This record gives sequence, C-alpha cells and structure tokens, in this order.
Amino acid sequence: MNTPQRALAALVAAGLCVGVTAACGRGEQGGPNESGSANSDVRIAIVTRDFTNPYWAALRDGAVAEGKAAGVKVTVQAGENETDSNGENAKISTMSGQDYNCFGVVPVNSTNVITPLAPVARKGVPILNLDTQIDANASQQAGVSYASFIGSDNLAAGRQAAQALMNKIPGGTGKVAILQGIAGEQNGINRQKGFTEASAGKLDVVATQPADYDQAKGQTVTDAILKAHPDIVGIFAANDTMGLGAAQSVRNAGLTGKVTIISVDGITAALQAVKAGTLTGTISQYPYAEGQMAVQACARLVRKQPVPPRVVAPIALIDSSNADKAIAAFPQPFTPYDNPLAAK
Amino acid sequence: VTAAARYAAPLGLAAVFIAFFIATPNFLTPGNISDLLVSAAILLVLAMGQQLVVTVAGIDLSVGSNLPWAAAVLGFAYSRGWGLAASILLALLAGLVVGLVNGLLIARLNMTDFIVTLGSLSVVSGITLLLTSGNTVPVNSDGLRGLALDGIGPIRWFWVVAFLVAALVGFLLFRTRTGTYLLATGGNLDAARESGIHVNRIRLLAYACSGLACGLAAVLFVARTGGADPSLQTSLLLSSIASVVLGGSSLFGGRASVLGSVAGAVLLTSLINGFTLLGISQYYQPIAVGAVVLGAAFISRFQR
Repeated sequence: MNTPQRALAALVAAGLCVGVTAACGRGEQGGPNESGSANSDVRIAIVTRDFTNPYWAALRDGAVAEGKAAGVKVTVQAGENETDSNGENAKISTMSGQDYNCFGVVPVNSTNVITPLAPVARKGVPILNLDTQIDANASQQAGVSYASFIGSDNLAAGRQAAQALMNKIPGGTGKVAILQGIAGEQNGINRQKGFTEASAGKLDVVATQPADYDQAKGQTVTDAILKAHPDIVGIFAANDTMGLGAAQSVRNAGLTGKVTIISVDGITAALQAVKAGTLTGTISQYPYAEGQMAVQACARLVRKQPVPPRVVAPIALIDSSNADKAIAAFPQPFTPYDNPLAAK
Repeated sequence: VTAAARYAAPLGLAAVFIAFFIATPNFLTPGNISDLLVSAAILLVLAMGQQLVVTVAGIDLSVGSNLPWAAAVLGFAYSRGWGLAASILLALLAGLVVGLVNGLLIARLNMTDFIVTLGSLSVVSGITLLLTSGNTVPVNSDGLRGLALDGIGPIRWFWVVAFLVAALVGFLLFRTRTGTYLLATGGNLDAARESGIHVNRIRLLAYACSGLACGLAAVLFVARTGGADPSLQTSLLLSSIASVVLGGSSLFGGRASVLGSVAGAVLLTSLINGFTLLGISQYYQPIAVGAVVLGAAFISRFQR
C-alpha cells in the first residue's frame, strides 16, 4: 500500500473508531453529565459556566442525582471557564435545537445567554434562571422570560459574612480588606454590597481589590495587601477560592489566627480549611441543592404545576464548631431547609 | 502523496460528520447543522485573518485580545448612544488599528512576529479592561439580535458574513496580484524582495487584514452574546491558529488553503457540537480537539 492510501485508510479507520465507540453509548446512561432515560416526559437541559469551578460541578452533580432519583432526563453542559460567554452560548444554541422541554441556565454575565435563549422562548419551552440574575429588560426586549429564579440570596450571604467577621474579630471592630470577584459579576457585587451594608460604621475597610475568583490571584493580592496594611485584622473574600488564596498568604506571613478570613461558597476545600483552622469560616451556599431544585422546578413546569417566581436556596455559616458536620453532610446542607419545590 | 494530505481537513470533516451521524440521530438535522455553522462563523472569520498572516509566514496572537477590544469599543460607542452603524464602524476600525500597529512593528521595525503579537495581546487586553473598567457592557440592540438569529429564509446572516469573508480572502489570495505577492513573501522573503515586491507593505497588509477580521468577528461576538465581554478569548485564538494549520497551510508561509481553513474551523466547531449532543463530559473535549490538531500535523508530514 502506498502512502496516500495508507493515510486515507488511517483516517477512515479513525473515523470509524470514533463512530463505533460513540454509537455504543447511544441510548444508554450517559457520562457524568447525564441521567435518566431518553423517553421520559421531562427532558431537562442545564447549562452553567464551567466544570472546573467545584461550585458549578456541585450544581451539575445535584441536578444529575435528582434526575436519576426522579427518573427524568437531565443533561448538564458548560463552557470552558468562568468568562467563556461565547462557549456557553454555543452549548445553549446546540441544545435548543434538541427536544428538551425545560432549560435551566446560569449565565456568565447578565446578557450573554439572552440571544441563544430567544429561539427556546419562541418554542414556548420554560426557562429557569439559575444562580445569577439575567438582565430583565434586555430579556423582555428579546422576548425571553423566566419561569423562576433559583439561587442563593447573595446580599444575605454578604451580610452574614460581615456579621461573622465582626463576631470573630476580638472587639468586633478593626481594619479589614475585601477581595472582589470578577469585575461586573453580579453575585460578587451583591456579596460585597451586603457586606458593606452590614459592616458600615463597625469595620474599617482599608483595601478593596479584585482577585477574579482565582486562588493564585487571591494569594498574590493578599500578599500585597498585607504589605501595605500589616495591621488588618480581617479579610472578606467574595468566594472560597480567593479565601483559600488569602489563607495561604496569611499563613506564609505567619499571621494565622491573627487575621480572620471569611469567604463565601462552601466548597470542599474551604470546609477542610475551616476544619484545619486556616480559614475562619465560609458562608456555605448549596449549589448541589440548587441543581436539585432546578430539576424539581423543571419537572413541575413540564407537568404544568405551579412554581414560585423566586426560590431562595439555603445558606449557612460554617466555622470550626460545625465544620465536621458540614463535611459529613456535603454536598447536602447539614440542617433541613425549606424547599417549596419538594414533592409533597 | 500530497492529495490526501492536502485535503486532510475536508476529509477529516467528512469523517467527523459520518461518525457523529452514526452516533446520534440529532447531529445531521437541518436545525443542528444550521446552528453549527452559525457557531462556526466567529471562528471562521478569525481564521481567515489568521490565514493571511500565516501565508506571509507570520502568526497573530493578538487575536485573543483584539476581539474583546473591538467588542468593547462597540459596546462603549453603543452605550453612549452613537447609534448602531457608527458603533459597528468604530469596532471595525478598532480592530484594524491593532492590526496596523502589529504590522508596522513587524514589517517596518523588523521585530519578531511572535513577540510583537504576544506583547500586543497583553497591552490591548489591558486597554480593554481600562475602557470597560473590567465590566461587561450590555449591548441591547434588536438589530444585532436579528443578525445573530435571523437571515434570508433559512440562510442565516452569520453564514452570509462568514461566506463573504472566506470568498474575499480566497479571491485576494488566488485571483489577484496582491495574493501572489502574499504567497511569494511567505514562501521566500529575500527572493520576493529581490524580485521587486514591497514585502514590508505586503506583510503590513496581512496583519491589517487580520485586525480587520477581529473587528468583524467582534461584531458577530457582540451580536451573539448580547454584550461586550472584556475577558481574553484564548480558546478562539488557539482555535483560529489550529483551523489554519488543520487546513493544510504551512506555518512557514507560502502555502495557503482557504477551503482547508474553512473546513478546519467547521471541523473544530463540529467536535464541540457533536460532543454536546452526545453529552460527553466537558473534560474530554480539549483532548479531542488536541488530538485532531496533532493528527493534522502528522498528515501534513506527507505534504511537500
């Protein structure tokens, strides 16, 4: 066989391999992103930002687990990273051409998912807005409306973080620093707003720096803040990955225990850090529960049952006193919560 | 020997289409193919700009920040009420300016293309963050939404734009004297200079065109995402280079294939699309894309 034929043969063989392996998976239980049978009356598509952030991976796991439990079809897809607006978009438009009859979407920013959701809305398929609020005006103009918003109250999370910080700092006052998320990201803005409101007049915020929800960046930024303000007694990080970075920085500076650090999210690594004492506390949100609720809400919508327009997912402060319980119960909340969507 | 290698991308595309067709009934449907081509349009436009730069033996890494930069200019102008037409024009201009600066530094000052565009990747990204304060600028325009969703009957506007750009680049490369100069400059810079071609001007042209392509891609990007997102678009940058390489163009210049690059861009988009339909885990997708690029590099060994 001469070379061009050989190259061609290899190509065809490769193509066939892909075809065969993929064909084997057809109609069976899918990978970690899928659950339930294809012929269920409820076929739910959930799209989030990425799976590299444990937060969204937990949302996926919750949705898939609930789909399995309820026997409905659930597929979860995501973009490549926290800011992959176009990639997330492509996933939605690909899925909008399929026969899903309910969508749950976590947007990258307040507008990126509206255009691809327009054809979904036109078909009359119900859409849930998950976790991060989508711009209402722009949605309305594009003819997109949301059956419900399911997410945590990030203002409350910020307030609770401020309360926790004031409780943990000796005397309840002092100089503190804030690590912000990606500029313009609404959840981060709300967390900071809640924090600022609740701590006004009590805590003195001497530094506010963005660290883009990134652990390494959180550490670098905290290094710089500690150099500029060696007398700070507390740090509020708008998410856990930054909080972990701050904890590392504080530890390197030999200040563990002297600087109180509170972050938000409740990812496993943060719970472990709270247990180990490097992180003072985390306001745990429950993306796993959010994923479950999204599937429950979709199931109700498809079966024409009512769903409240706003469902608030639970939050809780995890500190050294309850870290063990939280780790044992993870990814579920360790205390019962009020779920208006639970099957009665 | 060369035949199979030259058509590696179209053949690969056909193989992927057949594989996904066997794997899922949802792939080869008019609705999905329509969406796939729309998804491929932004990458395709970027790949066409990259194609011209690669033809002159260059590389444009600034694509990753030039696109969000042009998008941010569009958002900036639109949010100040300067109207859609003016905003789009400014976005195209913004992309072109970055391309021109790259071209001047590389062609006139003889700086290394890789380093120049790596530098401007970073500088332009910073300027974009300054312009937008790091925030996404919403662009809520029915016109742009129409561009992303509608078309002439089943022909979507995104295809029209992508097709026109590809046709224009193909025409420029293979039907005009400038195209011959581009290929000659990339094939052998010294020989081209000695034969009287203004190689500096030709190289400048290539980078300017790539910048302009970024501007155009930015308009499509804003139309599709409803806003100007200032974050770096690294995956689009890498995919634009991968598309051109997949298409059989030589990174050492002098050999271009517009059809190949188009097939390359559609192939990369098809992989993501098919994997999404099959519900294959996110974590496998970069492996598949990388494997395809490596496969193309392997096949191009047979090319002379």
